[in-house]
Amino acid sequence: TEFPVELTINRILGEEPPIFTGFIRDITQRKLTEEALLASEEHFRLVVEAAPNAMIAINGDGKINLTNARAQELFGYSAEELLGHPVEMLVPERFRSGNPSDSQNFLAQLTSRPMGDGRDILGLHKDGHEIPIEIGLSPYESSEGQFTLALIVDITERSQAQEKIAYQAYLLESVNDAVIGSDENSLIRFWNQAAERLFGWKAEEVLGHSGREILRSEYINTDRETVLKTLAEHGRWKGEATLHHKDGSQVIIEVSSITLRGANGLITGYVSVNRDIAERKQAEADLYKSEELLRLGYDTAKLGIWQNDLVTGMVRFDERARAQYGFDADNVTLADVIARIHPDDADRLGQEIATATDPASDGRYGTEYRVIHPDGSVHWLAVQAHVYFQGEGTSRRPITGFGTSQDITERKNAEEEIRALNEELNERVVKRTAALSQANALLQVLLDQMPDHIYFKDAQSRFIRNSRSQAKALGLNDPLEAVGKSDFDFFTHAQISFDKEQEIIRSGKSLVDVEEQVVWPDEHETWVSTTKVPLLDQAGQIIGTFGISRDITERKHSEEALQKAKLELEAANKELEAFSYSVSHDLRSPLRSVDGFSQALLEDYGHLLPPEGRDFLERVRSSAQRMALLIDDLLNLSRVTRVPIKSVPVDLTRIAENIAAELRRTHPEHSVKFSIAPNLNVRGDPQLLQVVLENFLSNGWKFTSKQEKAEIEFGSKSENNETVYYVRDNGAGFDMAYANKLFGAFQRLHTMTEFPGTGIGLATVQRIIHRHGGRVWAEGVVGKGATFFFTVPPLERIQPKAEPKEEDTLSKRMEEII
Amino acid sequence: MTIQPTLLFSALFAMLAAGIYAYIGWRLSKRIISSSRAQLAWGSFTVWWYGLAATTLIGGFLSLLGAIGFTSLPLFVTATYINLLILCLALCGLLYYLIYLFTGNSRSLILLAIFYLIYYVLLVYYITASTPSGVKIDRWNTPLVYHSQLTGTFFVVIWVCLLLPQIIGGLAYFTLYFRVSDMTQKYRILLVSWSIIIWFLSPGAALVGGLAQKDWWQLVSRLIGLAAALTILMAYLPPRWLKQRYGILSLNDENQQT
Repeated sequence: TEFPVELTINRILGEEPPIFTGFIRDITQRKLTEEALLASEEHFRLVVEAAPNAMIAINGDGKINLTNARAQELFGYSAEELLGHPVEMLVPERFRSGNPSDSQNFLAQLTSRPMGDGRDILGLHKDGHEIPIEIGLSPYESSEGQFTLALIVDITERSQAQEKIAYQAYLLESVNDAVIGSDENSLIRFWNQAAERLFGWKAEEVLGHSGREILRSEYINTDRETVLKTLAEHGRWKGEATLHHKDGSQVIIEVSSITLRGANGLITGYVSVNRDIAERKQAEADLYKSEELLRLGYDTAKLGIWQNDLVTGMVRFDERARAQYGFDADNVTLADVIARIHPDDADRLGQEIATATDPASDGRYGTEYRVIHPDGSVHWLAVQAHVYFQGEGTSRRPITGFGTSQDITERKNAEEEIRALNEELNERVVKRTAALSQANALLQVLLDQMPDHIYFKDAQSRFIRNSRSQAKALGLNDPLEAVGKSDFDFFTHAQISFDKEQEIIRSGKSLVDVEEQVVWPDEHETWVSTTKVPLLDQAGQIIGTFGISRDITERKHSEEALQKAKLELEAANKELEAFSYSVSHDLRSPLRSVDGFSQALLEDYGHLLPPEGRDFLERVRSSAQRMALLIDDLLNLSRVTRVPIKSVPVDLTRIAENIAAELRRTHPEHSVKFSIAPNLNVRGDPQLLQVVLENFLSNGWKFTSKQEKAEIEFGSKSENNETVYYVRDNGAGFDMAYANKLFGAFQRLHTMTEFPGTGIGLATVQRIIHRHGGRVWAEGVVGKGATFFFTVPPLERIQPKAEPKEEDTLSKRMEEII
Repeated sequence: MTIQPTLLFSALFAMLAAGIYAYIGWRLSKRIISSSRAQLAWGSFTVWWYGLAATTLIGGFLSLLGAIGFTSLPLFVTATYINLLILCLALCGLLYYLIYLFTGNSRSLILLAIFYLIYYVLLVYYITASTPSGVKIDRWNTPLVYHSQLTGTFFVVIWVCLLLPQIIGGLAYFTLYFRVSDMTQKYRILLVSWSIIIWFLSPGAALVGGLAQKDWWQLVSRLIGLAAALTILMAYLPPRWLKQRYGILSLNDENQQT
């Protein structure tokens, strides 16, 4: 049996003769293994050769040990050109420095490197062009040693596809329109930079989120359902929408959307291209506004537009121009238009048109003329026109004219009115000037002749103009000498006057009839009554003061004398009244004694007296009683003068009714028909007015005592806006010749035997009514009765005139209480 | 019962003075004044005289009680409180008259009333806090004896408030002398102002000079008060020779003119 052995012979050093040793090892098993390995390697080689991808094996020296047909095809080399050569020959020059080390490192680490795990690199074709490849490395060991098997895939097409995709992505990112991709559930899957700019959201913020929630789309002129329906049916939709920016502001966009469908035809998503059309919208709005403004301008100016075709002689109007010229049709002949021109304006207009249509002119003209409408009305038109020419030089000729027309009839009428008003105004100015001259002359006469001091002062209280009397009082010969001067130049007490005038200028309130004592420059003193009022200019502004001072020295002296006399008279009256009151009061006691003792004498000793004696005593008593009555009346008269008067509401009707009832009760033998008007109310002193009615009604009662059908009426009537009350009776009456004596004290028109009385009653009535500020009078006819009238003014008229508030000065206080 | 003659004299003198003061007040009250505000001021001036009469009368009455040895502490304390109240009322009237004359401000009466009300409270406090323990029968008056009389600043304030406003008012009143030309007014200002000044200055001077308990001062001070009152009366009711010589009017003359 043969079997393979391994023989090893070694010489032992130092031995002479040489000695050799030999070792024989059975390597049958190893040989079998090697044969199996060879068979395996051959198998591997066949596999490599048959692989669809390029494969090469690289040994530890970086040289190609194995290659297959696909690798040879990929790199353009034959097997012989590759085997045994460095693998760097397949790597572009600029990458070669790195390749071996990679390989070395790889071999050192003995770790596999799957496809796609490494970087995509470039291979070098034999003809020099570079090939994008992807390499997978795998170490293996063969009988010949350690190798690295490189699986190489040509990724040229894939790279091209990726480049195309990248290019398309770049394009999508680069476009100014916001491109948004979303899936079938409207979740955002693509969001380019333009979308980020337009809506403010970063891609990472919106991807995976609902576009509807992010953008809150509001479609213009449609709704979401319609849009989705359109997309579903037609695959695309285009329109405008309002979307929301991240900051909440609205963005107006134009949207173009398309539907994405899968192979099965189902919708897989949408792509929308959104374009910001805010500027376009603004431009549209501006354009619209501009057009609107132009239209409004035309409307506001009420401009009509017309075109005159100079070739055909036709004139075309717009609606307003047609109305302005009074035509029904839009197109008329030029002759028709000219026929409407007012005859007075026709020639002038013809000349202006001729000038404008002259080829040498610029064709522009503007004019105003009148047109006569078919109804005969005349309208003024203002026209601005431009004639257009054709050709140049001698062949230049007018072909058409455009113009605007405006109805200026109202303006013309207004101008005419203004002109007429101006004429009238001028006429009035002339008249006014004449009147002013006359007024000035009159004023001058007034200033020269009036004894009163008249003066005009400016805002600084300097004289502007003075009367001659004023100038004379100031010690001047000519009033003009005072102009520019002030009171300070003449008076030592000028400050007071100055302050008052400044107050008038400040407040605008006048000082009327202020009485003051003036010490003139020549030191003579007078009393003057001064009225100062604000001096106004045409606009009503206060520019100074105007004053008149009247010399009232004589009047003041008279008043003082009068006042003194009045005080003396009042004192005398008071004393007289006090005296009469005192006398009346004091006389009553002895009178009572006379009456009382006479009565006692009659009662106790009457039987001792003869009838004549008793009669004398009766007469004594009667006289004493009458005198007592007289004294009572005198006391009443005195009282009504002294008591303070009240002013309260008084029901005269009620008072009169009470008095009538009392008269009936005390004198039942006399029958009188009373007619008392209701609601006779006044303001006054109730007690005093009671006295008035008592006198009137008891007089009526008394003087009707001889009448069979006695009547007394108390009523009122309105006379000259005044209520007049009256008491009328049908009694004895009186002769009107004595009417003025009725109200005097002790005045009687009848004898005591006819009608008893003291003659004080009506005097008392008059005093009471006068104290109320009213009037009292009477009318009567003998035998037919009398009527007594009286008035009681309203409250404010019977109030005593308020005394002017006294000036509270130290000197006054000292005068009063030192 | 021993009667203290000086006290008796003091009592009788006080009653006489009270009568004169009251008479002055009555005569002055007859003056006819038209302005209501001036009436109020003049009325307050008469209040001063009536008040002075009342307080002098009470003082004289207390002296009379002292003279006969009746020294009931409750009665004297009560009379003192009443007397001080009347005095404050009178002082208020006098000062208001002077202030109104100078300023014409009638509202100052309210402020003065408040001031003198406070002053009266201070006086009552002063009396109460000093704890009256008895009545001392002095030679010229019958003052209260205090258990612990307050002194110091409070005491000074009491006296200053009593005298100073009147003295200042009197001096201010006197300055009017130089502002009037009417002889009657000059005459009245001179007499009334210096009467008030001397009247109110004299107790202060006596207090400072320690004269208060001197017999002669007691007499002089009373005479000063009486003379001042008579002088003021003479200011308004001048003697005939003055009227004839200087044309000075009396209140009666003015009333007749009015």
